[in-house]
Amino acid sequence: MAIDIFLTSIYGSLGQGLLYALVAIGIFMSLRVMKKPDLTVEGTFAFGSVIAMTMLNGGAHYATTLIVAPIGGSAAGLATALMHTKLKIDGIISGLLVTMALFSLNLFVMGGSTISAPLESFIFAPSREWLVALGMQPFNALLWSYIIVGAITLIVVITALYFIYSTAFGLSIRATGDNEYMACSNGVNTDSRKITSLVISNAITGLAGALVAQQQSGANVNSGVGVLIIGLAALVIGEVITPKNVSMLTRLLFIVLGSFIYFSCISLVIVSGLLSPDWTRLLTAILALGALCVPKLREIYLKKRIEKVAK
Amino acid sequence: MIALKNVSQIFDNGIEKNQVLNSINLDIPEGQFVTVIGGNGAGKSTLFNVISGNLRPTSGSIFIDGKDVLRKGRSARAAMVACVFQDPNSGVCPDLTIAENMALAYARGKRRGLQWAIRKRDLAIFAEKLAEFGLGLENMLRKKASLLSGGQRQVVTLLMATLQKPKLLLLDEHTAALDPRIAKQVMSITKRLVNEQKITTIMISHNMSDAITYGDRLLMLDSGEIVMDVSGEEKSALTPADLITMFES
Repeated sequence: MAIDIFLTSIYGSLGQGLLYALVAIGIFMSLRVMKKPDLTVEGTFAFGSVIAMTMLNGGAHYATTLIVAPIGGSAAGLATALMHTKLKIDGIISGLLVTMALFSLNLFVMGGSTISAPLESFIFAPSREWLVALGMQPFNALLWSYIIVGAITLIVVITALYFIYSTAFGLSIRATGDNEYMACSNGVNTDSRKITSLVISNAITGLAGALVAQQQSGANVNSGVGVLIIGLAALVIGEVITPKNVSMLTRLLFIVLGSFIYFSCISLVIVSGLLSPDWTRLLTAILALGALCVPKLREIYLKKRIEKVAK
Repeated sequence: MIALKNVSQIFDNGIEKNQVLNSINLDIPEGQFVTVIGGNGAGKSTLFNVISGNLRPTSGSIFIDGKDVLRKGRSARAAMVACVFQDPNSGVCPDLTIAENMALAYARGKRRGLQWAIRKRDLAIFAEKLAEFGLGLENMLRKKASLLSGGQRQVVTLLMATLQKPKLLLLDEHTAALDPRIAKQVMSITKRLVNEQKITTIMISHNMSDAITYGDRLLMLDSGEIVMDVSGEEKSALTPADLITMFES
């Protein structure tokens, strides 16, 4: 009995972890590759959610939402990027301005403050029905359908990103984030690289919004609130466990693992009854803070050990 | 060949005007190695920034191979002019591997499309070029550039600058941050790379004996003007003491 609840919460965390890993990957692209935080994330995520739900509500096929939501997201990213590169507005402020604007745009798109669509229209429906037909319990089938959809999406996104970053164009994006001056003096048009990077990362975030909205069976104006820190927590937890000097592909895969660990921690604390779900956000903040502190603590510990050996 | 015609640079902050370059005229034939000396504020760095495209001159024009380059964008200029700066951190991307850094420079002036950033045969070329220095850098191709020492970084940056032969190589006190022994080593590598490919080069130096030893021609800048321009025997006859006397006058 207890083991059942435990397993269910692990499956649930795996599904959520895979879907939110997309957000963490988007944050990784801006915060780690470009070395600049992008605060458009929450706006883009909500925009993706709202676009997908409105389309499904209107009878569209889920496959079309997988195209339109990322396009919406990339448009938001483009807006931020243009403000930042062409109008020379600080990157953080640009992101906040776009998020602000998207709030109204979301209300307009939905035609209200919340929206939902029939369960059968969601991307998870085919795999869920298939699993039920195989004899799985309906609830478990639903959890596993999240895992299947999340895994397939991640395989596609991570493969695409890995290829992009391995090309001459991708290398110039990474160089722009790492040493803009150097990239520029090697003939890289750094503005175009910043724009491209924000467009791609926000397309991924928009896609994440579309999928999570279907997992939560609806979207509302506040869909994006808190997503940035959840993604950040997943990212930094993944980075804490990532070995040193690994390839871009490994780094991306460890972010997915980090996302799973984050959701497992949250769900185990809540399922075990230690805390009520009201405390989720506080727990998230503490987890993110803890993971952010680990590199520093590790450094101090290593220094002490070296001193000890020296004595 | 590079030519500067009446190049002036005036910094105007609205309160006072500061003329940093005063109508500079300069012709550098292809393959010449020019050293530039001058006190602080003489306009050396501004001259470099104007040539490299970081700054647009207030007036005048700059020609490379007979073409007016001021009309071209910054990235087009970067394809022609390679730079190595004083700060060893400025020339490499610390989080990229040495091979990735070199691949980035190897693509200078080419379209950066969706082809692989590093191909097998590129790696072989990089390793071969690095091996020539005898510093063991060829075994570090897969390591991050942040692991390199200052001297190693300057060597890698120099190699990167010359991997695709530039029309013009600008060296801005690129050995100033290194200890004397390493600085000497980097200077001899510089000389070799420049001579091998006959690269047109301008080098700023604070080291008087370097300025005399290296290069075919020596310029002295003062208050934004070229106050001395010597080459050949006249240049080799100079001593550091001569230059210091001229500095003080």
